[in-house]
Amino acid sequence: METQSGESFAQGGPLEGEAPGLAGIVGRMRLLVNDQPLGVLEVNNGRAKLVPDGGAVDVTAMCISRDVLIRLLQGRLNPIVMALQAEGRLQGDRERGVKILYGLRAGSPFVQTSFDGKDK
Amino acid sequence: MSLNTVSILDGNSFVVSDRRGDIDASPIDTQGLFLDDTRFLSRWILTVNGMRPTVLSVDEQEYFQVQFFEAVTTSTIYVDSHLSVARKRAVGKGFHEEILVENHDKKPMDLDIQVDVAADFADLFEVKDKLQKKGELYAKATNDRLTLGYKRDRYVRETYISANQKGQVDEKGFHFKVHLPPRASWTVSLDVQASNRATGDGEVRNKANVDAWVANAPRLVCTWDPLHLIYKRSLVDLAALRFRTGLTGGALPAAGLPWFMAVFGRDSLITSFQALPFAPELAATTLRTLALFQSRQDDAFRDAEPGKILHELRLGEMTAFEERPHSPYYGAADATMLFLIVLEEYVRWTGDQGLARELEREARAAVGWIDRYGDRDHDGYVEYERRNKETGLENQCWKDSWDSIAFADGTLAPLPRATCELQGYAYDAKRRTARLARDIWNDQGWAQQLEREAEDLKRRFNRDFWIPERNFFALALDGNKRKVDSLTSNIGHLLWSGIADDDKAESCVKHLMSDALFSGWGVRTMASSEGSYNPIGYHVGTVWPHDNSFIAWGLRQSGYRAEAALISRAMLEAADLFGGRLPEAFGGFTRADTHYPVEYPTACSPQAWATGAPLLLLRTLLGLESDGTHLIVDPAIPEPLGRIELLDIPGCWGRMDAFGRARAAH
Repeated sequence: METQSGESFAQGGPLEGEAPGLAGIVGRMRLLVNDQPLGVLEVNNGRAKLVPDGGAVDVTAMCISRDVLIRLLQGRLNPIVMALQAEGRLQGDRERGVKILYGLRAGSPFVQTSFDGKDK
Repeated sequence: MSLNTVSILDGNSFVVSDRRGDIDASPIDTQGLFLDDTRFLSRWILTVNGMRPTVLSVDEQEYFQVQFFEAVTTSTIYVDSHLSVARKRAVGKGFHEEILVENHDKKPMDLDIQVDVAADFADLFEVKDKLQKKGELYAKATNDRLTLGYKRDRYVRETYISANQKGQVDEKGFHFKVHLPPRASWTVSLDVQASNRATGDGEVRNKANVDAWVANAPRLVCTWDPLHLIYKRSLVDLAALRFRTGLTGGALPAAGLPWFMAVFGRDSLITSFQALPFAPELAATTLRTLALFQSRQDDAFRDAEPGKILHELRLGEMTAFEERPHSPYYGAADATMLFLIVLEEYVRWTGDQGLARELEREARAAVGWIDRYGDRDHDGYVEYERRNKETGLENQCWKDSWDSIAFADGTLAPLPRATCELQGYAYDAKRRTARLARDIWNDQGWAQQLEREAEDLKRRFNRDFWIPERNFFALALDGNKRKVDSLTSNIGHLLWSGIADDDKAESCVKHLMSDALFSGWGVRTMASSEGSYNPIGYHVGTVWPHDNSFIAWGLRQSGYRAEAALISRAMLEAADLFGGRLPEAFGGFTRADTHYPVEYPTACSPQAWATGAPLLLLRTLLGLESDGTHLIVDPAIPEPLGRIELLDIPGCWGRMDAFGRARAAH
């Protein structure tokens, strides 16, 4: 059974923080792994926060594994590479989704976050 | 492209075949069905009773469809066949081909009709660099469908081929046994579909779509007849090169067939500038798309720094596995400045202040890149040197071939290189951004600062780049801050940007129009007097139409009307001799010696900024400019071109007309 919220998905370390690459971007991205919701990434002009699933979102990131999602959130996975290797895709406002994912690559607050013990 | 190939395209999907319609790709040539930088079909050969038909004619009706007329003949000097073949092909998300076989004899015929197929799924980089594949190829034949596939880890690409006639299907293709009565015909429709593409939204075009695009552009009326065809061809080729990313609305121009059917920073921006008075929507989509991918991070592998505009975005296997840095790659030192230049030009032409407001943050980041990262060694000039030493580009200016930046004696300039046109673009970008800051972003202080910085750059540039003993600007400052003293077309771009002092501009104009640089067809990339000059050297002697269009535009803006008209006329006459379509580049041979422009063997065609060149030349001839409210028309048309009318020019004024006619010299 998958965990159902951003808080339980991320078990330790920061769940929010500064992300300089997200300056000027506002939006909510739903996080799915194999169609299971794992939370929502809230982005607000240079800050990012993981919150439980729910509410309206602008875009959904659909990943094939937790590892892919973790690498995305930590800014370690290039979104074009993800799409080309069929590891994940964006649905909804894809323009905003691409901006968010590239923004995380410029500095993610979740680099030290423990995701179900599968971080780094 | 080779004269022996036929190409049809639709955005970044294209089919290149021989003149029979067959595809028989070797590992190093560019025949095939390509989508998303991947070859989805490398073999497609039609035989009738074991023979490949002889081509009679090829009807390239539209850029997205073609018809081949052929006969099945014995190998005599006479075409004595009673059996004809017509192949009609249209490209979309793959391609569709209808084969019609007709028996013109009084006797029946029994035919073995075979289509051999194969796919190597080569990445365009593998084709270009002759590399081997790392995954596995497979083929599956089921009922009336053949699947060709390639798998490497989770990376899977497949091609599906199906026929509407019952036949035998195996892993090598389709086989039909046909009995044709006298005067009878037989047809089969074959569908080729590419799957597992990275971008889902291919655009299938049709004639109505192209007609609507052409109809929306200004209408040309002129007395020099070839100009009609040149203009129409430019518009249709631009339509063909439009390409949707699926991320931003609208379409932007891909760079060129076959190597560059992708989003490019420099090429898409330059083409958008050229096409602005004709199809301003291209600029808006280009700016939005490039803003989306503007780098926010420092990434040495991709030669990226915050604020930089991309060079190239690719979607093939080598990009997928990060064996190439093109996701996207940022190795262009000029694209960031060109982004600012096109933004201001677009806003002033169209009055669309909303886009300037939308992209204020990106514009500020771009200016930040010029000062912080573009000027790598803080000497006050933009210079480049790749950080990705393995697969990055060595030259990151528009002349990006390995030997383009050389001293007059032919020795290569050490890196980093600060080419002169980059400084012109930086100057122009800051002045234009200052206008946006003042008029739209309401930031007077920043506007004044940018103008001060631009003027300071101009003062230093005219001091540090000028070569007094040769009376022109250096091609570049090299890594040791020495002046690279070759005479090149780059000095023409300084007129466009306005960075050259008036007296120095005058000397440059004399050089541009001299026999050493001006071949009679256009300005050579490098003067025939220089050590590296080669009339068929990619950037060291050939003539590039887009280069000439900007040189002509710069001459015009600097008040050299007759010189601008001369280059415009020569380039349009060359276009006429190329059947209305200017190639990427052609030979730098002297016009008096050849009487026709000599082809450059591997030139891309159509290529976006060559396609845009006649449009900017038309703007030059008519002297079209916007002051932000009105269309300014100030024609300077040479005698042979007679009268030119451009009707319904779109802009912030709505639609307006422009007229001009040649005047006899008095």
